[in-house]
Amino acid sequence: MTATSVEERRSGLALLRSYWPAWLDVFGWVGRISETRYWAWLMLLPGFLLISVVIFYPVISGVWLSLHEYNLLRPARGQPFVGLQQFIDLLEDERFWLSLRNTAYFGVFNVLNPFTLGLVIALALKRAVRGAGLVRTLILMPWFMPSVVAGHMWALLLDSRLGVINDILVKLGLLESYWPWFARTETAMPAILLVGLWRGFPFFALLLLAGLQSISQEMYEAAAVDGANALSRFRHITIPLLLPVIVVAITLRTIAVVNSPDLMIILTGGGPGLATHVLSFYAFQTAYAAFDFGYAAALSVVMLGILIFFTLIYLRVAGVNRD
Amino acid sequence: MQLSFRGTQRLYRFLTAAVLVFAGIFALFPLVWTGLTSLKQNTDVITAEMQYLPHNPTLENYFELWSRKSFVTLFGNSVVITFMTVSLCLLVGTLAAYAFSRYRFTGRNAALVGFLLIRMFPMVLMLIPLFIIMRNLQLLNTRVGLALAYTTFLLPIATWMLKGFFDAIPPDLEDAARIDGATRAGAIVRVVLPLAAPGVAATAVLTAIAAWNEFLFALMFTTNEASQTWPVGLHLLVGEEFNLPWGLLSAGGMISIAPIIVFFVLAQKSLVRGLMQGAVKG
Amino acid sequence: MSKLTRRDFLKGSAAATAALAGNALPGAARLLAQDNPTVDYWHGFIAEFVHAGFEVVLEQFHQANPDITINPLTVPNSEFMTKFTTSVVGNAAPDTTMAAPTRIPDMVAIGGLQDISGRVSEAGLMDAIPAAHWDGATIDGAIYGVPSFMFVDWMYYRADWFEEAGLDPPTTWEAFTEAAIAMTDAENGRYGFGMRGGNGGQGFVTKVIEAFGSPIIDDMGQPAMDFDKAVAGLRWYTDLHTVHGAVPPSVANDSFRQLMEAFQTGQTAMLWHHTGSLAEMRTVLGEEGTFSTALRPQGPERQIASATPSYNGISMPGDGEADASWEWIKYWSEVDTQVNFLELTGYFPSSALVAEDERVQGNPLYAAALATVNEVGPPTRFPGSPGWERNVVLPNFQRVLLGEITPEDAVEIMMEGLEEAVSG
Repeated sequence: MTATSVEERRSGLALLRSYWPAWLDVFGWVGRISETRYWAWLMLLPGFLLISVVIFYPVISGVWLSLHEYNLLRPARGQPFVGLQQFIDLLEDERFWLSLRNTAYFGVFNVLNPFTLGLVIALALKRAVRGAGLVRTLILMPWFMPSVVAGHMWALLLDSRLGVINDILVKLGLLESYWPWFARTETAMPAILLVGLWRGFPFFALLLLAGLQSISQEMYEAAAVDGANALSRFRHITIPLLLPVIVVAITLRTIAVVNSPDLMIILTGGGPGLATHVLSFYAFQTAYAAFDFGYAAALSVVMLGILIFFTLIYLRVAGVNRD
Repeated sequence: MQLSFRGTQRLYRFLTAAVLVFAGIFALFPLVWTGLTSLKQNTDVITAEMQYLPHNPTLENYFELWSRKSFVTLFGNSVVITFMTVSLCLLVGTLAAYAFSRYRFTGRNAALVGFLLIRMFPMVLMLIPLFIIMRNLQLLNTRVGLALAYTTFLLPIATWMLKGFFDAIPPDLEDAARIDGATRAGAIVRVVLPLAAPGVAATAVLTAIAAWNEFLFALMFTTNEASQTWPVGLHLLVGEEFNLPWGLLSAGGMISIAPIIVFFVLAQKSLVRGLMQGAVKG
Repeated sequence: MSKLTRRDFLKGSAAATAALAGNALPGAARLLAQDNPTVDYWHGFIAEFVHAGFEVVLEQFHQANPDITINPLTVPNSEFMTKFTTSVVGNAAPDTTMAAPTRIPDMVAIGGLQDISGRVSEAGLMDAIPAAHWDGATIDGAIYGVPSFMFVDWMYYRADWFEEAGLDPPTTWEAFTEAAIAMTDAENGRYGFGMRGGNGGQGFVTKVIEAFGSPIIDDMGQPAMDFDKAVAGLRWYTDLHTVHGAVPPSVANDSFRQLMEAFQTGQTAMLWHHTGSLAEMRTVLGEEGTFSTALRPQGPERQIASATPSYNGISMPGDGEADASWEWIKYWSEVDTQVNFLELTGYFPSSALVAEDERVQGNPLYAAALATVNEVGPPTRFPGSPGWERNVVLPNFQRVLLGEITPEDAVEIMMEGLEEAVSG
């Protein structure tokens, strides 16, 4: 990579890239600063500045709120300090435990299912058979669709009157009559997970494919020469080198899934009964239907704690394997 | 039983094809249905007997949607905001991700998690404080304001993803470049970014999609119709106490995936193919 | 919230300069603040045909008041309270907003609506609009909104099916059960009643409970549910599904969209909604014959119905725009506006004068609404009622429909939740 190869010169971008060093030397200070010990901090600075503008106030006010009673409908009461009372209330709140269980169920499967499918597809795409480029673009489409359209279209696909999926299943003889997927306790969450799988697998496929493409082909060739079979190449080359990307993808997806009540809002409203009532939905309803911002803050802080816990575990997994 | 080399290859090729065909069908079926629905009038969607192919295919939905003048504005707003968001995220994210990937400093893990904190904290409680911040900075009803809001929320994702890709690049290559006299900044531009090009492209695509589809902020931080975005417009097709105009909504869905397809085809050509081939072989 | 645009500012400074030069009429400085005011207005006119009607009203208002600019914003119903709350707490609420009576107590409690009693009586509006129609916007004697159009509950039924079966639409709760059973032919995918078990169904449950003689709260705003009567009501209602099977099996996820589609595709024979959906029903099922409207059935104590005016209120104290805001919301209560809106959208008027109009009296489809409107008031509401209904009533009602708990269990939970919502 040090010397520009002939092949590289062929592409215009590579040509442009060959001019960059000269350009950088004109403003040589960037290069010089990059050699100082301040460089790491300077690189982090813009990101931290941007994020700190929006993060400190909301998070601090959220944590503060969780220790105070604050119901917008009772302005006369003000915002008295109640210590950990709202967290103690949570422990006795049946709906909290139920939502926690639903969140675990939803979270685990809405991360693992798309991850597995995405990985399989990324591996297949990596083999670059004919038409792979087309498939690579096509499988990303589900992710492109705005969630309001995607949500409602899935509601239509699985509708108990107009749903084409029901129609196909009936025609195939797999169902006797149209099934109300979202109206039954036993199928509401699986149906949502199906939608989540459809929405989520492109994210993993794209990320993992990009990760796979960054792995040098030479390593596989060397391993093949050494007589390693496909499975052991997968275990000893693909997985370890892909691990950082896997960890990142799973972390980001977990956070998104645990925090977003979108699918529930469009498809089930947390029902039927409380079958799809997850924590993010509970917090949203507590804040903007019941206006109990103190309790919603306590719920949010618990969710935050759970997510930090998992992120730290993921980080450890990634760290242990690399060092 | 030991398969011959050729047999194994054939099996793999078959499996690969099977996976890709399945993936294609699973990904596309709902979209095909959306496309078909967009060609139907509502009376052909709400039927007792399922209509697979539209009996009276029409492009009326597309014309109607586009003829609402606000939709063109919304579309334009979304394009501009998405472009600004992606540029900012890539620029700032690359810097931060490189620092996280290559340097070991006290509090690095804490800072990494801290970066993500903004995404971990439930949106419910962020809305009011963010609204107040946006109001005080006079950023309500502006494209820059929305782009900045999106950036702060997508930056952690972009940074983490890029860090993942940078991690996968062996530092030896960079060291070699530096021995040849490149500065650290030079090594980033000449070695790291080209090698991470597929990852940078993937990050750009994901950031673009997230910005393009964002709804809640766009609704909360705008108070006039001229500053709203495309997803808000789509959302407004769906009332709670009205018939859902399936055809219009589907047409909106089809229109909204169009620019991203264009973007991706371009990105695919220039970024993924061009850069990556040079990088991987180099 | 209205922003001073650059152009306004320039115009303003030009006028100010002129005033300083001594050329302006006396009082110009005071008028300056109100020169070409802009009034924000948040509304929920989402469906295309209603939005078109709104545009016409907007245009007419502008012709009548050329100096006032309205800055309208469509806010999705499901996100309305989220956006409104955020804006009020963030100190940037719109000048004026549409407000449903069930939301008004919450909106007032969070400090989002102004008391406009003074302006209402000054303008003599109390005489034009029946006293009952102010109830939904009156809290502790203070008025927070001016009625515009209203939604009157009624029932749609398949006139062709009832005729075929030789039945009349039911008028009491007992007859309703019989009709629903008679109309059901589950083998062929036909059900007697399209029950709202999904989001929005909570409002029907409280109306049923009240119609069975159990109030939700008393005059003092304290919980007043009668356990036995509430159970009787809930049991009767849910039995339609759990015992009689007269409701589609998708009930627990059936919201407005699903119910309309079920009725329009011939899955259900009866559907409860209000006057607001008439125009769409006509578009889909045609003018005559297929469907008709009837009064909602009588419960043991009263009709299972309410008449719900839509109000317009002023939310921001206003920076000199309060007068313009008032002009705008008052405009909606005027006879001409309401007749116009009725013709454009089919939305029922709140003004007494319009209700006597030939176009309302002469249309047989409206007979059910006219009979109902004088009998019933707005739905039950108190600060916290939307939250209680959505978070407690709805899920537990669904659990009864699913057979997970009994009506007794559900009512017990609802009463505990009510206690919590009122005083907790």
